[in-house]
Amino acid sequence: MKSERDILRTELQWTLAVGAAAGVVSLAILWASLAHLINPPSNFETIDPAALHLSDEFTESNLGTRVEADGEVVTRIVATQFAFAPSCVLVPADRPVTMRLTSPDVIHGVLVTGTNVNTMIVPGYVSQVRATFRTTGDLLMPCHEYCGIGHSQMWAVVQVVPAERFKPDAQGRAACEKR
Amino acid sequence: MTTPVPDSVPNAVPKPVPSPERWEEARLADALRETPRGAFALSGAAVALLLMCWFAIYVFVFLPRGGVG
Ligand SMILES: [Cu+2]
Repeated sequence: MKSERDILRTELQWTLAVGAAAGVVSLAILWASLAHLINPPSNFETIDPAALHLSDEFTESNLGTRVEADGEVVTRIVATQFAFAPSCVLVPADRPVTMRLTSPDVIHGVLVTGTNVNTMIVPGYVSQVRATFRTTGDLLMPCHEYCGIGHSQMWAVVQVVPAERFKPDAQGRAACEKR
Repeated sequence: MTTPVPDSVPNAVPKPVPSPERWEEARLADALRETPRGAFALSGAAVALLLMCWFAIYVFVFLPRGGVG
């Protein structure tokens, strides 16, 4: 029969094994963070959720994709119950894209299928993620934070096109091609 | 009692042939002697599988997709 001492030793051995497993995972995360700068999106920026239409940035006419004066591709999206405005954004492939999102009502969230883009959208804050899309095509971008009865109907599309098909107008704006 | 003691528990065979109660106790002691090894094997395999899947997704899916911060 095993004694109390034997049982204690077994538990200690298992604790060490699990500790080592957790340590290996932590090291891998630390390595990606420090050596490759792969971190969770950590933008901290506030905005009045009741006055998005009066803000400089998230007015209806300024939503969607725009190439800024410095050449940076920025998409601005408002997530509301139960739709994204706009419901499709056009982005060029193999070029860094900054996605900026905010909400006027409740907490939403997005992920872009097949990419690491994944963030919460909290009213009062601007969420920002940077991504370079490697594959062309229509990528589904659903709301992934339950936001009410219409949550399952809430999704948008990120349309990734090759650089030669990404043609912003004189103001730098680009909208999705007819689908 | 004429119940034969099985060969599979040789260490548990008290002499002479024990009463059914003693026999059950011996079988229990024998099973408990193996229990930690079985627990280690089962939980070790489960955790090893979990770690392998985690690293496979981390290395072949997560890292190639790149940072978004
Ligand atoms: Cu939502």
